[in-house]
Amino acid sequence: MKKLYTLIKNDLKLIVRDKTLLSFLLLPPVLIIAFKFLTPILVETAPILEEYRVIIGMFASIQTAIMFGFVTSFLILDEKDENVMNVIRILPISGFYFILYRLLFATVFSSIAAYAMITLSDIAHPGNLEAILLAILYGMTAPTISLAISTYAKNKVEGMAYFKGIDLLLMLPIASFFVGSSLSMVFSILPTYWVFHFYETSYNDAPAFEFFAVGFCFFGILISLLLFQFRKRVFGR
Amino acid sequence: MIHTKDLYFKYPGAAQNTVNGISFDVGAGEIFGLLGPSGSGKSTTQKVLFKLLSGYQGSAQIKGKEITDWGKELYSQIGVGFELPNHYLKLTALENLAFFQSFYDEGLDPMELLKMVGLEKDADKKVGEFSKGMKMRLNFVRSFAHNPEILFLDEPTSGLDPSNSRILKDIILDLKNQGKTILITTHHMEDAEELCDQVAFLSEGEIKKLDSPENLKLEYGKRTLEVRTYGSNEPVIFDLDQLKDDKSFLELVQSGEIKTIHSKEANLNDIFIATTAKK
Repeated sequence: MKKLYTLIKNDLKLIVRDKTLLSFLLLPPVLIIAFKFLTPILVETAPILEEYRVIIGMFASIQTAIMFGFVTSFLILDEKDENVMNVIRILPISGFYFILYRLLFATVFSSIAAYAMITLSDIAHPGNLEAILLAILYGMTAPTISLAISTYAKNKVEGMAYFKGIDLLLMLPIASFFVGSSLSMVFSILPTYWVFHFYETSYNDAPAFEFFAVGFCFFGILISLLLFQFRKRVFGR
Repeated sequence: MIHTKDLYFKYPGAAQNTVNGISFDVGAGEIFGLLGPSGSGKSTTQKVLFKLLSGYQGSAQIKGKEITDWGKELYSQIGVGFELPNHYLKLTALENLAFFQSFYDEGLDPMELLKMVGLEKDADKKVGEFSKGMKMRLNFVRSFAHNPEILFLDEPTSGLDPSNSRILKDIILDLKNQGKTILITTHHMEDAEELCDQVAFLSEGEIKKLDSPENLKLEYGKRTLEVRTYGSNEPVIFDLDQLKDDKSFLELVQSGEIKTIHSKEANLNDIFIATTAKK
């Protein structure tokens, strides 16, 4: 527990002393407040948007959830850039412990932020249990982003480009609601397809747990593959 | 304390071995120097020994135990000073030391460590504001902040001015006097000559020569004496073994004309070139 406390304290110092990371960390509450107050104004101004509340909810939740993935990936990229990763590898604790603790925290905070967005913003509430399950799925985007960026990006500039690309990819399945049902399945190769469809279906009070199950397994497999790649490429194991 | 026997290592995908059957022993309280040109396998050998690289052939042991049999507890026994600085740039020097120390059971006073290398006034400065030399000094003290028995130092004086280089060398000698076993890689032959009990010259992954600096200097040197006089620009060379009977030398001594007088033993730079030059 003492080591975990040391790691948390150290990471907080690193985040607070970096303006970009700090702003990304503070962005989720700002987004929740912004969506809570702006969505009613938007719907009032353009009543057609009432039909698209759930789409707005999907977008708002994913944008809130990915911030912690970004912060974690940049902490790891910093360690790669500054060669600290070599020192971590020769500590008497597993270097993987450093990474797993961060991924776990990013998942928890992302889930909490997504849950807060779904339940507090009043954009599109899918039900209490569904909100929790949705928050878990959204939370799983954080380790996915962290591992993808920190494994493949060589530096922070590349990392920022990867982040924008991954953000776009994760949002892409929203398009599945605007195309015909045959084309819609094309987007199912992306994990967020299952998250968004779970959201939409449960918002419309239809049985939706198969979407949750597939989404959960999809993220689970993806995170495992990325962890394997991370170990191989970053830790050389 | 450190033992290798017929050690081979090949990077995945590489055509040739980077370490090619090297064998050496470093006893307790000894300083051992791995010398050689860039790419000769010095750092790779170190990385195999502190388990950053796996998949070697032959034997590599620390304290009588094969590297593959060591777990994470190995890192409490050894300290590593890397060639390049590696610190959290947003943390201060003191925070960096304290953070890494917190993972060990034992530790020296971080402020005392900073004092040893003249960084006490910069203890609360962020490492991002440090010069390369300051970062290297911090690297160095971090390597033994947990008081390990064995130290691996990769180019410890790289990027340091002569005064700071002197301070570090004195600390290394002091650590040796405390009984620490130290393996150094360096390009600075003067440092190796001054610090090491034994040196191994590596080239293309093989040890070309291994002995004490003193023995090597004698082996590669000439048994001659070079005398320069005020009267001539050309040196006069005498055979050391014939010196006591050499009348011309004795006359020269009595003439008071001698400007300089040097025996011609080799230095490690000469031996480096002689043993590691590619044919």
